[in-house]
Amino acid sequence: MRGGRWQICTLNMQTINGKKQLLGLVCAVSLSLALLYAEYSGRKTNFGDAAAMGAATTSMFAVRGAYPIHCQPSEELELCIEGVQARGFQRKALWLGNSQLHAVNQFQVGERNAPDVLSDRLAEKSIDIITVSLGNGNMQEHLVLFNYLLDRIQLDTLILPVVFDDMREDGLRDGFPALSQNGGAAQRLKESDIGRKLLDKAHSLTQQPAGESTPQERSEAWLNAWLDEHIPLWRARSEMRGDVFISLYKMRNTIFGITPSSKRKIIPGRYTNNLAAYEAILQTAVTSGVRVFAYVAPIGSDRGERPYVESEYQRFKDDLAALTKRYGGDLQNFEDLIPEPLWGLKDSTTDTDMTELDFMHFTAAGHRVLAEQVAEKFFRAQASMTKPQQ
Amino acid sequence: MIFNSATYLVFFSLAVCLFWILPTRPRLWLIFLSSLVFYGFWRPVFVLLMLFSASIDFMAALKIEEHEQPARRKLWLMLSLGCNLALLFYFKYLLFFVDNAVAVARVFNHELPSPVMSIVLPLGISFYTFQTISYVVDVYRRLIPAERDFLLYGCFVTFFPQLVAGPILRGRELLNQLARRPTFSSEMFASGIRRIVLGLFLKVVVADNIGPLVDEGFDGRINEMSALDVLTLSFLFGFQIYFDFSAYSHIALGSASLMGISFPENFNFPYISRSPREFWQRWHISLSSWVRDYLYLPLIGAKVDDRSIGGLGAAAHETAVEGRHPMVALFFTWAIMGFWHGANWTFIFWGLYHATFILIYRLCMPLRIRLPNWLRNYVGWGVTLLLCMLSWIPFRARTIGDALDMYALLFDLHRYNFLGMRENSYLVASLLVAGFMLTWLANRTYFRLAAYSVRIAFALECGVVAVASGFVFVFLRPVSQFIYFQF
Repeated sequence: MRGGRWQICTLNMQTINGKKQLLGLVCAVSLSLALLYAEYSGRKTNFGDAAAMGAATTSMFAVRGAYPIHCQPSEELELCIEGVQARGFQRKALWLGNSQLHAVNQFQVGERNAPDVLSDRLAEKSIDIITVSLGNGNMQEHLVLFNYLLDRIQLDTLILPVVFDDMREDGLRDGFPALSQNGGAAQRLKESDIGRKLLDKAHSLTQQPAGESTPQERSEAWLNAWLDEHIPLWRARSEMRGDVFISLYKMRNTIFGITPSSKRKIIPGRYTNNLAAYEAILQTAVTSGVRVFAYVAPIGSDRGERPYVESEYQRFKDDLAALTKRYGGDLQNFEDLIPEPLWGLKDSTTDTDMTELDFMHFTAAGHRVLAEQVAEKFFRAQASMTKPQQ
Repeated sequence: MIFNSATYLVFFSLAVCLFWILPTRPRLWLIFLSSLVFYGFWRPVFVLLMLFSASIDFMAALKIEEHEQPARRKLWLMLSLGCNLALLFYFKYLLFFVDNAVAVARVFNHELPSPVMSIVLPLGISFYTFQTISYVVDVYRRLIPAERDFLLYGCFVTFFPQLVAGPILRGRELLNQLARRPTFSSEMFASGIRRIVLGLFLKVVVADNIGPLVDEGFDGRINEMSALDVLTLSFLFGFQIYFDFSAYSHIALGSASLMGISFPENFNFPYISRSPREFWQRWHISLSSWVRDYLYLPLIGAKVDDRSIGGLGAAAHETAVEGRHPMVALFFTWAIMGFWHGANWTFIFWGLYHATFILIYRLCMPLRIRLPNWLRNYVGWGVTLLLCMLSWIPFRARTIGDALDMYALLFDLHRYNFLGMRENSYLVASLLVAGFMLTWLANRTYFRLAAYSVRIAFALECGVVAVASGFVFVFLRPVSQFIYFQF
């Protein structure tokens, strides 16, 4: 086995002189950029959802007056918080969740999603609610968000769907490290093992180039802002990266025959972290005087069969029930809440143009069912439960 | 400044343009000042530290050359080594020794106050310290004359393409190149561009996307891992660090090429090695040859080389002079090699792991098991690849306890019947092994194709550069530093 060097870089092209080599390279790089330009110039898509979930699924974020009442944890979050302060209700609730809360299948103009409907229902009883949802949001991210929002809003109730699929996710995405290090949030996070672990991770992430302390970071930030402003192709790079990953995801699914019906297994380390985060949320809620209304999220099924290993799914529900009971929370099982016709279809997750069953998102009618059910259980729980002692 | 940033591309483009416009002496000023700017982009204050360290060695080398008496020469050598190693000790190892002293005292029921200290490790201090040590020792050994021009010497120490993560160069390799006025070669220029594109591709597209899988695995709960997870993680990190570090070397070599300067290779397909000896001829060649010439060979009393090529494997056949103990030298050298990487027992463990591997190989060599050559090659490759990959576990683990726990999982048969990580981790690890072998094969095929038709080979090469540069454009952002920056 003779080893070669990276001769691609050192090849002695005897019959091609250096100038031609240079010309060839310049042409190669230019061609590459030209192709990217041709593909992306003038394209206006919202990568966050349109590309990730497909055209059959629409993301909706409700607004009341000048303020959103439903957002993703981005710049909009601050507007959501301002809205709560502007409306000035005495009682305030927070609904955290994944894309199930903002995604509507086969959306028709005029339709509403669950957070929109629930907001009206709660407003009848003078309760303000904001919803923060993020695609595949894991429980550790919910823990950070909850702790962050506790500092900003005098919360009364937390509504928390728990999704088996999201227990397979891990870590914090961009923006979360900064949220976790925010004053009181950091203090509360320090009270649990998982919180400390997240803080350590956040600290190590913010120690890396993202900060603003070195000339390198400042110049990079300035240069990127300038390039974003003046070169559309540069601005489109995050979308391009998203497209690369989605293509890889689809290719993987096509090659390995992965469909929405494929069984998802528990990933032990991630599951333990997310369960610990769930416990930390309950713990924090008790000490902060926030009532928790948790529910096992609705899940579609292909001819009655869920895309989970049944024994693992059962274990998940048992673990949730045990923890919720320990901290005096309320856990409802909504897994079969949405009837089959209300689930709808989504774009294929493989390299085909077909649609396929969507196990996670439903139509607007499904959203209404969810909102009504949450409202009903919410009011019933309000009536029967006493607020936990601080 | 880090290579995988838009800032570097702008900075470097300006530096290259000016470099070819200016006459010889101003060129040196350009290299020196731009190198200081390059380094200062991280923390400007540490530029002074680097200049202080370089000045001491500059002066010591002149004094060594000036004196003929061995005692005086040795005194100046010791002064230089003492200063270099003291700085390295303070910035890199002091906290390690303090922590260990506190821990040892606790074992004997003495509570020492644990001092609250925070020392920022200057970027690339291990690299430039080793480079200046080699310079002074080479002068002491009379292999090179002491440089009398501080500007030229300053360029040798601070030359930005190799300042923070090597290759660690010798005076003979770089000083002459810096001193002469290079003639513009479009071949070298084209080769430099190819290397930079390739290096950026390996860093921003490959290594940076393996990183999160590795981080999650090593930060996870070991008691929930399977043996297959440990194997997968060792391969993932093995590839991450290889692509990350070799990417840096590619960009360093490419950047130097664009300024008409040649560096020796630092990597050469290490994971196709069939023995530990071969591995260390292919991995971080400039460091392993440094350790060979300034540590191992002097310890066994053998003749040294003055070039940073050949790696540690080149020392394998050197015989020790009577009274020296090669085995002690081997383990000592490797412990230092490990410790150079970081102030943690995990790195020393990593060094000793490799020393043991090399020792076993040396002991087994005379046995010459009768096997057909092709089979011997494949068995050798398989064993070397597996053991080298497993060696990365202590290198990446948080503590030595974690590393031992992970190794223990490999010997528990019950840990082979489940998978504890996300499916993509196994998929990516498998693709990396397959991709690496395919690249190696493609590289060999490319040679044959080039021999048959240079034009087709060149067209192919342009295609590769087009694809790679497209990906680099999309993924270029300084999401993470190069792993070797921390050493």
